[in-house]
Amino acid sequence: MLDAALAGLIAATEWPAIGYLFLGIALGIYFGAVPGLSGLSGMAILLPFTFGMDPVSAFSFLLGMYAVTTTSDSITAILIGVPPTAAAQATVLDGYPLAKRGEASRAFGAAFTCSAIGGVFGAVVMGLSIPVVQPFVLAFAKPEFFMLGLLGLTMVGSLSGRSVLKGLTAAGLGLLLSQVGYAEQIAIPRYWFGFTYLLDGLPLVPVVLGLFAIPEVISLAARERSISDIPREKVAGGLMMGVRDSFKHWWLLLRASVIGVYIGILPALGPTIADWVAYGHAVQTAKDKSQFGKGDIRGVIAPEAANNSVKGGDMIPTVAFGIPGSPAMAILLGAFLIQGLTPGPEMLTEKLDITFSMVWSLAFANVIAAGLLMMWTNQLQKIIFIPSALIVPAIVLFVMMGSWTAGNNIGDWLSVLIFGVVGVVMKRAGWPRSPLILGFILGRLMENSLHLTVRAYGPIEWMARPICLLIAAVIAITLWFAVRSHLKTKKDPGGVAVTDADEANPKMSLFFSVFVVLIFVYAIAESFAWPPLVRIFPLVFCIPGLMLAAVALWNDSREARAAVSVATAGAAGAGWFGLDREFTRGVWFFLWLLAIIPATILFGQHAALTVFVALYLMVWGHYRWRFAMTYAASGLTFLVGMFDVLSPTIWYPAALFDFGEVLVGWINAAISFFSEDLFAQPAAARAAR
Amino acid sequence: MKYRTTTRLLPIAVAALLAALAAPNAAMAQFYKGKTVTMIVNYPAGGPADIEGRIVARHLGKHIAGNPRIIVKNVGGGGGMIGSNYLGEVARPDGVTFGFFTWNVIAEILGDPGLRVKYSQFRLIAGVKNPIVFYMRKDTPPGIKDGADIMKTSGFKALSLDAQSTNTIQQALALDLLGIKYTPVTGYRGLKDVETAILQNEGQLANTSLPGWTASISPTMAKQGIVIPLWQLTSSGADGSVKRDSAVPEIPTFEEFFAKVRGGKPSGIAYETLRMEVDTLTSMFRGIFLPPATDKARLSEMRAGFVSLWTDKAFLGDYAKAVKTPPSMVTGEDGEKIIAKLANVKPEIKETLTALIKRLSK
Repeated sequence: MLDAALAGLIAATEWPAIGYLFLGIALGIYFGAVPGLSGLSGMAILLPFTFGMDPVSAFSFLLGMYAVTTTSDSITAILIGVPPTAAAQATVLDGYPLAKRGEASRAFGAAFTCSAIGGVFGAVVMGLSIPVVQPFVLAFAKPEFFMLGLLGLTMVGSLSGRSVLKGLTAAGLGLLLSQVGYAEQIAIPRYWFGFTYLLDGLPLVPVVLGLFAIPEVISLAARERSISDIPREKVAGGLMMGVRDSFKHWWLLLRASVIGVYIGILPALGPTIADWVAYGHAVQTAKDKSQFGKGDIRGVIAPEAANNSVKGGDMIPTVAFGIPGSPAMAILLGAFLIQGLTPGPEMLTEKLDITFSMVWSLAFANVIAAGLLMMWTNQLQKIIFIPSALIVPAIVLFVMMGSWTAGNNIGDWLSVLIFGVVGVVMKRAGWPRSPLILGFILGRLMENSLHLTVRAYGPIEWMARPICLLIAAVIAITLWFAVRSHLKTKKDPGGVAVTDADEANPKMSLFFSVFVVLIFVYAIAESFAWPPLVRIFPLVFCIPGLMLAAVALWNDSREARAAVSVATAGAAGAGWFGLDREFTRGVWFFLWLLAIIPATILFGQHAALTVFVALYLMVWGHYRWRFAMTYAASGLTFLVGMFDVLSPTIWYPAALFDFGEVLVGWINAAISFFSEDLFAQPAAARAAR
Repeated sequence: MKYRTTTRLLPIAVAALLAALAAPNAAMAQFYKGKTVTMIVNYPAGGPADIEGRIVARHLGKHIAGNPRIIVKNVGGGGGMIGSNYLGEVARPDGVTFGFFTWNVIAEILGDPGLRVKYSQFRLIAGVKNPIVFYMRKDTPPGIKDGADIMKTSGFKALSLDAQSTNTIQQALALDLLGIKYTPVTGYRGLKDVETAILQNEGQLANTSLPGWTASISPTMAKQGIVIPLWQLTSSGADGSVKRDSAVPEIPTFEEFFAKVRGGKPSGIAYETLRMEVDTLTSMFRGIFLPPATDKARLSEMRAGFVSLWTDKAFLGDYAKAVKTPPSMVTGEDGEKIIAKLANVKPEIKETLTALIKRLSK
């Protein structure tokens, strides 16, 4: 095995593999930092380019990219509060408040250090455990998956902040949303309202971007300032402080890395879950929880370590069995096909050196990326002092295109905007959004697992499986601790502010509670039209969800009445829902976003997005038209470069006149013209034979 | 947006086609010169369908008169129907967009409302043949040393995809015809998921496509002695006989297996249903289509391109490297006859399918 490890090291550091590794790292930093793109989309985009590469170069390229997206995603998460990948959501919770306090460098120091250490840890575990992981992977079948889903739901408590009740209700709502689309057992669609788009279920990326990114973009646009609330002169806490913090909390860092690797090893669970679970674990195990959500560095350390170590874990079942450890790994399997390699025994015997080259690539990429990003921290953190009007159009472009690549359907844009509204309301109402996403992700997994479990193992017998019992015990313990700590915080309020609770408006919360109650009532009523097998899962979520929502509604109505009496007693407030000038500007900005849709339908996406950028800069940013046009032209170049040349995408067919189609037609003609010679030669050679 | 006027002079098109076949560089009516052609793959990136499509796309351009550039776009979801609907409804029939589809035979037969454009309406360029391989865990009680031992089993779990998929239907029909006692477990998300479950002994029997067998299961689970192949389902010839596919000559056909364990030939409406489904599916596992109403000249050029492609050693090598077996082509003309049969399916066959799906969905 040592020879293979050495051979792998040599192969990974030889040219051209090392060159591809660096290229992959550069691309990975880009895919990670840009909202809407991720390791998964990067994998899909880069895979075709590996045709014609040798195996080590191909994997260096892909893994160099994949390893580092969760290092660079902290940049956008911390600086702007927009999670560029699903895996960075948890980092936003404490990273962004740190940036607002002017401590972005410290947050980066911690994030990059933990990403590197977590990533290397994952690679090491991969290298050591592939030969011995078989029993572990074989033991986790569908029943264990269902139990893990349940365990994941217990994280809700620690992600709910002060209101566990609202957190649980939000999780129920997320679980309900996961029910949209065809049922598992019978092809009867649930909650699809006649839209074909919904038959496959709500797509994850637009929902996440809508809930988390859109409210921040609206907030940025509405605020007319830069991101940092503190002037430049008062910035405190530098890069090295963040690095020292990471080593100070080395025990948490290690635990988070272990969590990440375990989640990675389990097939299909990937980076999206790892950061939440690690964050939840950090909160649960902290003695002083008061600063979580306000800028606790541990809230950066845990998720950043986990979402990098998970990548090493992902690789284990992928390489050892051909079982994808995460959605991105499913695409990596395509790389195996292209190379003519078969995951499984071959990779652990004759091709063990290639396997080890993957381990080395993962490890190197993590360290190199962290090093590079740390060197650029000084430049990076200046972004928070840039006027928001310059950043907003770029984020809108990235978020919209990130959502588009989910399904290439106008429904994706509608989803992102609709969930944007939900996200804004939840934020204002002080309802935690993280449990909703957790419920949404876990819902599908759990229903599929439970359905197959019951079919394959019978309705009851599976519960006696040893690992299921073990997980059940862990769930019971977790719940007990959660309830105990909740009772403690009730006596001593000032608990975890995971929910921007400072902004929480009781009247908005009441409004949202009413909305949630109505949704559950509707969902339950709808379900009676279906056969029992199709009805059961939604009801299992909806009935408790309705009860919790009703209690939340009752609490909110009391709080709202109290708030109203205070407001009428006091000075003229900011309106019934806390409507102020910022809110009105936010609404206007949202209407601008909404206008992109009819513009797309008539003139196509290229035109709609480019014009949006130009107009926004001129009207909101008061920039000169020349500057606005240049910026917009760069945006258009990005669109065409990424989504027409690099990774050709299906666009919405414009009804009136499609500017994009014309432009892309010219570009394709130009490319064909210049590459014609390349094709003509082989044909001539064949004719000559 | 400018459109090219399509030529309606068929004889000249035929002559051009012949000339193009003879000398690919001949500068006659070269519609595709300087063009970018889009291939739509109806499954997401990275999967076997996508990789096979991309291998085709890499080599095809050289074989079409005019040497167009070929780019690939993935339109996945809806069991492949979203991609095919896109090609049928949105893509223009100007010969510049075509689809590399894993197509949905059952949806076509039963007239699934999700399939808004039937495959018989598309223009078929070519197809790729693939038999289906059934496999089983050797440790299924009382022990499966030889395929025929399956007749000694007294109940096991047969895993498959959703109830309406060919994967499920052909499995249920085959096992029912053999009179074997089994519990169907449907609903796995993909063939990889099924493989994993078999590896975990969540189930004991499943079936897969040829690439799934040669590239994934054979070099791992079969080589390690965990599973053995039972039989293959492959298309019947013009004379009605069923012969083993040359890619897997060691695996008996279902008909041979039936004769060995039950004696005689399988028959009845269940077998007719199975035969019809298998003939269509395996003879055209991947179908390459142009949108409905595409000009015949474009169709001819593309068909000629594929015929030429199949003589390209580099292409065949890349394909065989990925799926561990050389690809086997069916021409557009033959393929269209196969699909056309689906329009005249006996009502009894449709009823059998519908009843089976209902039974498997419980």
